[in-house]
Amino acid sequence: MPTIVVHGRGGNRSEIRTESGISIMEALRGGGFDELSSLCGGCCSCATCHVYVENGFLDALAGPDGDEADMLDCLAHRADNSRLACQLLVTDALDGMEIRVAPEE
Amino acid sequence: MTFVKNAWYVAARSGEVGDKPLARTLLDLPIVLFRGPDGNATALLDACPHRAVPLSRGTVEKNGRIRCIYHGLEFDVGGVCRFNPHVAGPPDALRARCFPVQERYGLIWFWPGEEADADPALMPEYAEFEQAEGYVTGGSYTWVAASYLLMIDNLFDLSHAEYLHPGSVGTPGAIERAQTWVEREADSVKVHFEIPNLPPPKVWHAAWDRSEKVDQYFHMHWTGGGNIYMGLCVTPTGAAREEGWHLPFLHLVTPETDSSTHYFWCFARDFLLDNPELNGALEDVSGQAFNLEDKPILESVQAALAVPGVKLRNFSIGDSASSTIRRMIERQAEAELV
Repeated sequence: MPTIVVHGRGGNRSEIRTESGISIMEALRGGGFDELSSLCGGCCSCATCHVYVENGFLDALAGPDGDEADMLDCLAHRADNSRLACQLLVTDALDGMEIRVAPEE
Repeated sequence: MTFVKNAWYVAARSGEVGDKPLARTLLDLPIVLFRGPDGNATALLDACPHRAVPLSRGTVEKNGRIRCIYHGLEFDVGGVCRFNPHVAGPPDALRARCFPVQERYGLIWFWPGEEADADPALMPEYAEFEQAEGYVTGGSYTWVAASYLLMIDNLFDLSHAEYLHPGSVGTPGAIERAQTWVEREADSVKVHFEIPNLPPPKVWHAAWDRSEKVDQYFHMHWTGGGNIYMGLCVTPTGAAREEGWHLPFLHLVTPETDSSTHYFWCFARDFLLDNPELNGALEDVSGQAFNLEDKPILESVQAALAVPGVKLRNFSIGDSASSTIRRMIERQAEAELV
């Protein structure tokens, strides 16, 4: 089971041990991390699960595809390592990945 | 306020403009519309270049010029002063700003931006509304005390229809079975909304007798400015699209100010063409939806947004489409400022 490290908006750090095959957004929720509002429930319509992918893991992720890229494009706090957590699939290869929650829009 | 100036916007319905000046605020600009001697419509800045008195307070003379009520100066359809009784010599150095105008689809369009960029080829293509054979058109106008951006949000979020419009254009039960998806391109956004196998909403009751239940195919297509085309096809459940009846709608929203909108809506139908009374029924039910249902809600949203802490949040697929449109408009407007 991979472990994802998440840095919250207040500088808080959590380690989430999660199964593979679900989205990072679901993994964070399942692990009790509740800073992502994820209003749309994971259908790539709200961009409220905006995170920054740190420590070199960006290249280990597929995408972003068209819809996610379009949603990212609308964000004021977009950076080169911006992703939507609902679109990122947990795999064993992501063990040790660190993500940081983006500021609220 | 976020307005894209280099775009074609509807200024008026053709029938509104004649030999009396029509004053209308468009994108925060006071505009006067009238027709010249050849019947062509024109749009001038509604401020006499002499003392800034609204030209619309004057009259359109038999010579096709608009005469200022204050000192009798006369301006032709191009805004050039052709008569000034107070000076000797040619009066034509005095000019009222004239905006590019096109008349199409029974509507008068104007271009508030750079005159040199006002290419008629940039007008949206609405083939069914071009006095096309096989179509009958209708429509009306609604003034709304809300931003045109809220109106775009509303139009792209068809999931609201069954809740706000259950007795007009909405289909109760749609949310559980509708398919919704978005297509984004460089300068346009389209959202599809398809509702299979439910009874048709009231707007169809005066016409539809082909089946108890229908499949409804909507798509909303924004192509810049405030120009939105809605494709609408209704078929008996399971029938091919070609066998359906088509009722495309134009939803053309022109900002009046940052918090008010001129909403021009038009439809074209390809069914029951020999029934002239059907337009009245379609206009009545559509008017109910837009004037009595959408308008008060959007106006209350506009008012609510002035309250600190109140903000819009997106979570539906339609919300994601309109948020893309808002972003495109913001970017185009920013680029125009450079």
